[in-house]
Amino acid sequence: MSIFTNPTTESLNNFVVSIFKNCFVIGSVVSLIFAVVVIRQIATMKRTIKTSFSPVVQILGYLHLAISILVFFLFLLWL
Amino acid sequence: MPDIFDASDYKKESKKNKVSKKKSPRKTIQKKNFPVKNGCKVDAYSQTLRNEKPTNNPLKAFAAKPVETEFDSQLEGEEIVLMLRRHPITLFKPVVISLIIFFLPFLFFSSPMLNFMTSKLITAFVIGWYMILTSFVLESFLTWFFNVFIITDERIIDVDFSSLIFKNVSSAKIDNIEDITVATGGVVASIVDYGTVYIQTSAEVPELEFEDVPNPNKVSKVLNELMLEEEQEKIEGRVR
Repeated sequence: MSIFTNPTTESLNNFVVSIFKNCFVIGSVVSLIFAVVVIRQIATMKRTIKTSFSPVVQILGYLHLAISILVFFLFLLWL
Repeated sequence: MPDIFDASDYKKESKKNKVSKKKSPRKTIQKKNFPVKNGCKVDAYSQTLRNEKPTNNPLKAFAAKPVETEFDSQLEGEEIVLMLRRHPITLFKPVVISLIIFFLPFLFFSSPMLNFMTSKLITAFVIGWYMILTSFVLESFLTWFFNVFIITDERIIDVDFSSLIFKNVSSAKIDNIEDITVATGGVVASIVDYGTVYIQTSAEVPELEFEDVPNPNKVSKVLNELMLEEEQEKIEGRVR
């Protein structure tokens, strides 16, 4: 790593930016896991209590999961 | 001339009286049969619920006789008479937090804190930030929506969905209810009328708490009416 061999302002900046990139990717993975847990929980709760609004809640959960997947791939490939 | 007492006439009279006594209706406290509206049998004995219309709105915090609502351990013929959630005012805190999360990036961008970041990273930061907000809003809503208290004509059920990972379902039969306590505290709770109903039971779960539910006095009244009905059923031998 150039920051340790040649510590310039630019290399320091690149190092900080790369840390941020990794943090964003890890964050999106956590968000993805959370979205999967939400889907599982909605399915369990839908079985526990059946209301006319439960399908809407499930759609919201899937929408959240779709956004999480999209954000994960965006951070992974675009950043 | 004075009438001569005839014992046979007296016997006839007394027989007549006995017959008439038998025919006369006994003075008993009869249960008034109210018309059952919308097929809800609870209307027959609950004055509180008789005045309530069946609830179509699945997002209502105080849903009397909810339509199209079932739960997994529901027995055949068991009817949901009341479904409760926390009062919507309890969502005030998550709403305020959401608003703060929503407006915080504007504060960041107005300051030179993020000057070292590239435009790509700033865009990623904004996307990530609003992703956190979406997750927070969804989690808060789900916790509120699935955290329900159900009162049926036979049981009380407390479905706790304390976080996304923990689920706890406790139930007790109406016959096992021993004591009902209503607690309302605070200015907001008094103004918008919400509070906690503590139900002590002789079942395995010693106490069930219906936390921050709207109209706690009405809930307590319904439970008392259901308890009276259960006692009446026991006396009449109509126990399931």
